[in-house]
Amino acid sequence: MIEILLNGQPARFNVDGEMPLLWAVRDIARLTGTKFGCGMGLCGACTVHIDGEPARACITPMHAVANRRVTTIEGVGATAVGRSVQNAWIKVDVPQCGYCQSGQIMSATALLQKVRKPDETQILEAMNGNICRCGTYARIRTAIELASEQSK
Amino acid sequence: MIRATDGQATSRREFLKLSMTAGGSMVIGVGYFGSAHATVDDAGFSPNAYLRIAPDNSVTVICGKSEMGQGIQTAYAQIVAEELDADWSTVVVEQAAVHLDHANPGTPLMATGGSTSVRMNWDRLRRAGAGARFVLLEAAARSWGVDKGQLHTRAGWIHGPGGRKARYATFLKACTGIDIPQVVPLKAAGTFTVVGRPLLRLDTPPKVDGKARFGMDIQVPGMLIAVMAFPPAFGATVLGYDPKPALAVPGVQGVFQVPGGVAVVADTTWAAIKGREALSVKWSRSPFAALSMAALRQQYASALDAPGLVDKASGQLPEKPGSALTMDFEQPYLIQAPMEPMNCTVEIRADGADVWTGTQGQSLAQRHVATVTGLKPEQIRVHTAFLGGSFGRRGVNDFVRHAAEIAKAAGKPVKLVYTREDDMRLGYYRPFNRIRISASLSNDGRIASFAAKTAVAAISKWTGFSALKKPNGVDHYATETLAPFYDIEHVEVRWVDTDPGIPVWFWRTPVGSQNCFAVESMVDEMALLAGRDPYTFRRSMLSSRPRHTAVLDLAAKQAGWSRPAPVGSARGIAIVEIFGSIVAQVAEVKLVDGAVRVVRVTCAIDCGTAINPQQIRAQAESSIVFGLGALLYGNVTIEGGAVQQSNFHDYPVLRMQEMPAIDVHIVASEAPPGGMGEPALPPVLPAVTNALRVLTGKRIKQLPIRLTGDS
Repeated sequence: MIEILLNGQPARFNVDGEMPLLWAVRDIARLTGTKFGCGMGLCGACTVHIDGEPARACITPMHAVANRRVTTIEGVGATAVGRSVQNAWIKVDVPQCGYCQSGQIMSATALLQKVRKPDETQILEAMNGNICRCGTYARIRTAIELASEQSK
Repeated sequence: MIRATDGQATSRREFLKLSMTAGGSMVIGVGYFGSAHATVDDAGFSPNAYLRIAPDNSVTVICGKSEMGQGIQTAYAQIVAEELDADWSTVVVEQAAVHLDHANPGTPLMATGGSTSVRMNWDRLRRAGAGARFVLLEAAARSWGVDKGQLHTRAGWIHGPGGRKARYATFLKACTGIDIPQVVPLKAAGTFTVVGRPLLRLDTPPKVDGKARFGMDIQVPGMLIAVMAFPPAFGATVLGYDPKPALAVPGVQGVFQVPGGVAVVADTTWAAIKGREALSVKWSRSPFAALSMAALRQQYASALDAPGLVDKASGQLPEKPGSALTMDFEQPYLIQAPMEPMNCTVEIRADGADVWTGTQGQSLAQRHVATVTGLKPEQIRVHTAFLGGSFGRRGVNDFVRHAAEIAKAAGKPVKLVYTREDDMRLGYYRPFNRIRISASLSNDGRIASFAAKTAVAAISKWTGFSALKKPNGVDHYATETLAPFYDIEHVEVRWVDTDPGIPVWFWRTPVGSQNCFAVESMVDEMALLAGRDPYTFRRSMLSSRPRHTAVLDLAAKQAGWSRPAPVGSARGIAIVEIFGSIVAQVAEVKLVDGAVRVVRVTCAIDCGTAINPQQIRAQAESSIVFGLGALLYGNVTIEGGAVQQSNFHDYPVLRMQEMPAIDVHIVASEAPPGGMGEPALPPVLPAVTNALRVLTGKRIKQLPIRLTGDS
């Protein structure tokens, strides 16, 4: 039995410790906002926060998150930065298909929680691991800058 | 000038249908005489409805097209809301059930693709909105006992004499029995208040908080999750398998051989994946085992020695041709690689089946499940989820067929999930092709002769859509954009059907972008040969094409073509006409540590009436990024009959650090709308390589771009 604090609520999982966090969250906790894209930590669609740090849920085994705080896209709006990032995403109308955007928002929120006013290099460093096949990169950057200004 | 209001006369076979639900909502459908009348069941559900106005004043636009990121839900809502004069804040969109009244006019399948959604349904969507408005006005006139001419509508309200006004929903009951005339008046283009506005997308809020439901997110009570062991190479079949090691994996519930492979079903996706890893399957030798890239390239090179089929031949070869050039261009197989891997959920009952998936082809999905289950197509309900990208891939419906087979074998609802590796290795690819173009100049330095021959597989054959084959026998996609629109005296286009048997399918501008790359590369070479500027060279051959000229001029002006490029950079220009729109682009390119860096793309578009300028910009940005990924990296290779790529490490796509600055400029127009999901892709390929030609002196003739080597 593995216990984690999932979006602020204790959650218990009776699973093999090797099961990636992604599948526990999606198939067992039924929180499907965290997406499966590659299964190898290459695309960022599954990004969640573990104790506030961005992590790829598809390559994070459950045993590694035991008794830790996990935040998903469903819970990130409860934080001030997460909410301002989501609002900026709406204002800039970032998503197209939308499938990668949970991961993009989780990466962007983790960045802004650490660096209030990130520069170009810091944005690229934080976001380059998140693929968007619809090519919304320019709007993502605009939305990060907007959220950054609004959280001053 | 063609005005949007001219539209098409109401088809004699297609008409508006009005009905009322038990709950008092008004439903408008657009359909054919042959199909069921806009029927409404007890729950108020109407499979062929386009529009529903409810007593709570909400206006629901029922979208018969798949939302895969192109913004079609919002575009459809804007068009209907415009003619209805709806209050935009009350408009919501619902995804339509499968019904042929949602097929494009004159086509036999409900499907989304080819950048057809707006341009082929613009007229009927407007008539749906206008028809509802007509009925509401008629009902209001009767209720108030006034002449209809004394009434007008604005943002969901009907205004009458003496300042009297009421919301649309007030009159819903009074609408019963009112006939909609065959021809309803449409608004004049200059009076639009919703169409043409950069409104925010209606589907954005659920896409930022995890609530949007994609096919991958579907959960049905009692559902199991399946993954399939697919053939390791094309055409290999199952000779035998041992299910025991898979069944020993905790959570695995069953192993079934189904057509196309062996399925492992389990409680969780993880258990299914582990079960598949444990499973041992013996496969037959692939009939393509001898197929390698070297052999394949040789096959295409030799194919161009054949005469092929003539698709177009006009004018005469000049008697005394000027300077001439012949060049071959080669482009690889590409995969669509949308972010959401393929998936489908199927539940089969004795009296019907439900299918939840993101598909571009609802009618075909319905037929696949009918074939597998023995049920009638009308017993199969298809619930279209959001598509996590598609770019053509989700039209194949292979995942629907497999999911139905597994659900049937398992006797339980099943969600089939492809891994990224499945998606890449057993795909349906943009075709490999090789194009040879011979062109010559006239004495006054223009192109006098242009002969193009392409060796490429027929997408029409793989899709089974016979409508994609022209009367002259040429595959519609094979030669798309291959005949230039420039004033050229002699033009010849030929196609050599060359198909090694690797599955091919649609992509974002499948062959049109390949052909545009070759044509606009060659045109650039001819400009160099003539010693002329590539922009004015093109312009001088567009005397009969004012729309093309305007788009080309706009791109050149906005890019500052007349000023020199920044030191160390070069610019390239290209233009395309495809799917009803014209797009010109200027790419500014430099080399950084020997690698290509696209700094900026300036994009000018004439897509006729612009439904939503901000979404047009988004689609242009999206198409450019998709094209740049293909140009710089896209390369599916085959050895021993198997695709060698498997995931984003060996099939790289564009990431944020390679994102150029993009500025998009839209030509103001009242012409009927053109397509916008794809047309901004093709010109970016030659615009970048034309800039590289200036920068490096080297003509890129083989993609993806390699600056060193023998291409």
